Amino acid sequence: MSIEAVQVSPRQMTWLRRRRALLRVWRELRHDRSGFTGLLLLVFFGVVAAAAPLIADRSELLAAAGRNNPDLAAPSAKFLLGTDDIGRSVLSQLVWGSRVSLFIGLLATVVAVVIGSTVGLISGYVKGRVGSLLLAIDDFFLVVPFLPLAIVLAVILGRSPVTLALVIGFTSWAGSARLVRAQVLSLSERGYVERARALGANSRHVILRHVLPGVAPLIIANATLIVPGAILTESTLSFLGFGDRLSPSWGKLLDGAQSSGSITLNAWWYYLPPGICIITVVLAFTLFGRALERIFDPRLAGR
Amino acid sequence: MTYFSQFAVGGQMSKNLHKVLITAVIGLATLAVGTSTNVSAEGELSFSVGITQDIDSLNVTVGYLVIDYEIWNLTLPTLTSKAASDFSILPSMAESWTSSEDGLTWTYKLRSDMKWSDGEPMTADDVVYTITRSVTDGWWNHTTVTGNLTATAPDAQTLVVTSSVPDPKLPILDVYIVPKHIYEKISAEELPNYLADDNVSGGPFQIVERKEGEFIRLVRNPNWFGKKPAIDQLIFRTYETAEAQYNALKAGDLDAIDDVPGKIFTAVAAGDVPNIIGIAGNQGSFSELAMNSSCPTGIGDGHVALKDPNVRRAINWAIDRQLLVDKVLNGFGKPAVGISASANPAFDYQVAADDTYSYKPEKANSLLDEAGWKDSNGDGVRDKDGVELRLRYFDRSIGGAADTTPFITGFLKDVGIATDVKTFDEDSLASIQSKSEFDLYTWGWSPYADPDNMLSDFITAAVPTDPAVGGYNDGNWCNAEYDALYAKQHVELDPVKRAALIQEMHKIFVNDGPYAVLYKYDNLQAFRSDRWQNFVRQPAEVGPVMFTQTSSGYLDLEPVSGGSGRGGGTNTVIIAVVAIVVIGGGLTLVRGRRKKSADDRA
Repeated sequence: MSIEAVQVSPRQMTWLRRRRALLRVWRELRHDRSGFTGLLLLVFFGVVAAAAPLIADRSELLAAAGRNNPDLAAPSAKFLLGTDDIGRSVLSQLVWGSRVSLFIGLLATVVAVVIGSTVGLISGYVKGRVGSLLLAIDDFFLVVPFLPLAIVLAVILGRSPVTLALVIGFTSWAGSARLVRAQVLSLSERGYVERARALGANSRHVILRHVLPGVAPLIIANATLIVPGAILTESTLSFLGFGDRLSPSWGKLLDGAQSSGSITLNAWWYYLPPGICIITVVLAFTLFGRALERIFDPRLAGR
Repeated sequence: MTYFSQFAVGGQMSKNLHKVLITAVIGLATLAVGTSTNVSAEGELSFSVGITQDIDSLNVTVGYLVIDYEIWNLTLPTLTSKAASDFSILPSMAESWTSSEDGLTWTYKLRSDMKWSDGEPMTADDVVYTITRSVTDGWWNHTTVTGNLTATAPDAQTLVVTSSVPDPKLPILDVYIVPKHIYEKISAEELPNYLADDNVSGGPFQIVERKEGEFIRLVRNPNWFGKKPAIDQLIFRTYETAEAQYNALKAGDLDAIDDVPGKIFTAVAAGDVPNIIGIAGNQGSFSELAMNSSCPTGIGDGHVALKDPNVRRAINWAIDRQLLVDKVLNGFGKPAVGISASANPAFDYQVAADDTYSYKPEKANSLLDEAGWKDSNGDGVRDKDGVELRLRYFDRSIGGAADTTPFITGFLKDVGIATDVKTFDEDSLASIQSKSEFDLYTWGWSPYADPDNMLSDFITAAVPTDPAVGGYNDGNWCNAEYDALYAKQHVELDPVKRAALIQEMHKIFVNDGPYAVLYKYDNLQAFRSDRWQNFVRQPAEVGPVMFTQTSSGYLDLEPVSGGSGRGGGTNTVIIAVVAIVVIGGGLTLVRGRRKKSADDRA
């Protein structure tokens, strides 16, 4: 056994450090009761979404699937959550809807985080014209009333789940850009960044190698807090009739319940389940995100 | 001009933006309107109608919404009227009429006691003025009737109308007569912007107050020469959702509503709701799937497959119309394969119930096979010469036909036709139609009493050839035989022969045409039966009471003596408000908190 084999390469060292950090996060999360509850709920919804084909056949989502079923039938052994206004099982749509809602929520978050972090990083680090231009764009998106903008974009770009996710992501990045920028401003004054610059590192290198790792925890925590907003936005858009008519999201279920008059008809099995799901997932992401924030930024502990 | 004429065209943007305000509106509906009953302080009888559509324009040369027509029915006179039962001619301004030998000239004797609501005399001059000016200025609500007419008034009570061609529509003159003493002050350039807010009426009611987006209030016109209505005051209140207005009716804040949600109407029609009577009325309104048939004289980019009548037939065979009626209309309508040419069902395609376009997917499959569209690569979508049978499907964002989309795309998929669905508001769809840049799209029509107008939409001359001008032929379809028959019925004075010609046209249209007609749908209306009685339907037995071709439904209404009764029913509204507030609040909360943490850090 040669001596090199025991020696740890810098790369391995980095991974070791990262693993240790992850373990620390996990430990703290386990002791954070609300954060852990949020995580468990998320795992539950993740499993349901992944296992959708096992729970309900996709063909049950077809409009004609309710052909021989009663419309707006109360929950029974055959339909655990009753039927909707055209005789389809509410449960099947709820289960498959979790896929659409979570997919849109997550994809929109990725879009928002990518745009937000990029704008935040650059506008925070690069001074001068570029920085202030990006800041101005950011300010614009902060003050533009967000729902009308999302509606206009959804109408123009179309209504598939992917375009909806893009629209939501595109309209909700401004806040995280601000957040990232603030952190970058403080980081770029730190000694190690100055040293890197003194050693001749260009902006690109400094941003990617030294600043980005510093703001990464913040971005991750912030992302988990964007997801619930994105899911609510998707539900809102679908509820207002701007969603994708052909894929079953929770917001679309609410829209169907509302437009078919099921509230007046007391068909609670149609509108309560999607409502509860939306609130639970949003709550779960928020609890989880808050916990991550506390862990990554000890200054917040106790607040 | 039926394209928009009786149709609920609203523009989805504004409609849905308004929906954002549901909370406020439902709240206000339950709080603010809570005090109105049908007897006002002065002991006058008031009749409040809930509507889900706001007035587009009160100007008869501009407006095109159903509610606009309803206000004109109530405030503008017509030369002749139509019987509620069967649309046959009745005296109105004209007491009697005679025809010349050749049938081209009609002489009307007018009543002598007519006055506009401002006291000005109403004479044959007003009719002559309306006919002449509508032709010169091209008023689009008038010209399909008046385009071939000239008129003179030898004296105040005599009107002579001459047609340049034999005109089967006469002696009925189905246009609103405008007050000459008001309109002659307005130039042709100013007219499109005229708001018609001087409220001069020649009908049974006159407008006294209007708040845009909220209500319009009319009172009885004391100078009206016809049957005196029992109602003293008539109010149309605009609601954002059909459900909200239903709850207002249930709570007793309204006396009648148009557009009851189907599932709720089922309960009402079953008699489960005390004091409320539901009337499902049909006046020919139908929905269809239009297929771009790519008429050679037209423009556009329709899919090559739809040029083949056999592919269009296959699509017709693939659709389960009964399922659509059961699930989308909740049974309030009936399957149809031909258009309704008229509000009068006598002009419908008379065909034995089951011999045309029943639900036979196997027939659709064999037609498509024969036409050469086969699934050569096993991907579930038919193709031919390297072209996939994948059709652009343009869907309407609101209106009953919108709910048919998930069904129809499923039916088409079952026979190997793929669809790419895109949803548009009505205005966008109309502009797409004027370019004929679509494969399939859903739309609906409500015809007039006379079939000529509806039939004229499918002649070759109506095919759009210039996007700026457009054309009503929304299937981009042409058929020389149909054109010839249309021209024939247009000047056929014998009603029996004309009806036979129209049946011929139906046959060609159903067999070769650009439509998969889906169904005829009912207007779902509900009334407070504890306050009102004598609901007269138009046409008899099958039609609705309000929003018909005349104002007779309102004139015949009678109050129930000793009627009272205010129901509950606001609980569900409160639940809805709470639900919406919770969701909205959740959104605000999350956004608010995110903002806060950003501030903390900055």
